[in-house]
Amino acid sequence: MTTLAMDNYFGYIGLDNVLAPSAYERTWNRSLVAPFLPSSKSFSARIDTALAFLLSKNVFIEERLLLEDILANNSGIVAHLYDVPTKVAEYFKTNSIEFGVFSDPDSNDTPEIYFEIETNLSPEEANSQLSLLNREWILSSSDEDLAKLNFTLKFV
Amino acid sequence: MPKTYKNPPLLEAVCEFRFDTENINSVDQITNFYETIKALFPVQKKGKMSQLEVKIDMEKTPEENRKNISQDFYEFEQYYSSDEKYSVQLDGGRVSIHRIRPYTSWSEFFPIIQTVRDAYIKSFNPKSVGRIGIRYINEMVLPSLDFSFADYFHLEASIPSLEVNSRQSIFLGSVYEQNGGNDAIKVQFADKQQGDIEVKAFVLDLDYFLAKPIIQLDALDEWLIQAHTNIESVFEGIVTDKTKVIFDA
Repeated sequence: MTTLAMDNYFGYIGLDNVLAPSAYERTWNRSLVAPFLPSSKSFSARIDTALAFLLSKNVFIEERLLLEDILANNSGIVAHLYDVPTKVAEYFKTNSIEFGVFSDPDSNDTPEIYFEIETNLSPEEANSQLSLLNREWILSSSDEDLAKLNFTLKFV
Repeated sequence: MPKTYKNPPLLEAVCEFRFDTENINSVDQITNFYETIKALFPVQKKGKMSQLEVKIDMEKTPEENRKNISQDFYEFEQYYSSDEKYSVQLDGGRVSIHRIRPYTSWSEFFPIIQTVRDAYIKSFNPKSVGRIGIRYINEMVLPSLDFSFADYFHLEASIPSLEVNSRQSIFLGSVYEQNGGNDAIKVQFADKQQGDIEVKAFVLDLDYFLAKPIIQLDALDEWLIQAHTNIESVFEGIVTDKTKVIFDA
């Protein structure tokens, strides 16, 4: 039995098919000899890997450059991004999600990130599920970064 | 004199030390370390990294082995400057200093690196350094109208039977020996699929590191200065004057 412990994420294998620098680097690094293999750890690579993971789960990413900028300034959010597809599937039985940024052009407020969940549930049922998701996951945690995840609904 | 730009394309600069330490960091050592750097990094937050453990049994099928994947989180120390643009990560023998956009200059970054490194050595008494890395990750956003790759980059990646201008995407990666093989630089260049047709975005990731652990703890400054000079000359050699004009706009 061989055990490999690595800094990595669930869905690691799936990342190799995603067009992102992090996915490319993983494939390449496997062929390098030991002294050349590990890169200095960076926020940017961690963000890129998280976005590659979301892409591998068919999450549509809107305004990527702006999104990355927000994540760089709120790095505590990044670890939570891995849970989003599973949580949305658990409460909404869907994997149709858009991840983006919203900002009010008339205000000086900092732009915020959102996940738009595409659902065919009735408005009552969807709102009820959204309340449950917020109550059981976001609000039950004391992690302030988790509270920066905003969920909205799109009815189809 | 290091080159500076009005709008440098730097997404993140990292200076990382991996020290060889005999013991696991004690709470007292971590407290002592933080007290030394607290004036520069008053904001304290736990970092969280997901760790995946894969147990592979050669006698089992891939499907059965897939069930032996477990995910766990581990935490490490993170300290931020008051504007949260500078930060420090402390994770056992690894300590790294990060600067995110907007990057200012090496002459500002270097003394901060020195402060954190000296605090680490004083607090944890490492025996030696196994790896040092200076990593500059640049993101260059360029106008897509009439875009010609050769106008912006001194990089060659061609395939004889294929027309260069028909290329839709690019990934390049190379490792070069530096300083007689004691150091190395990993150069990665890729376009970024970002969805805005008005612009083209490219990532140039330069990681200069100590490939052989032969540097004494009292010679780290000299290594860092040389590493920065070398990484800067690689960067300056890759981007054209037309690109530099954009950085200075």
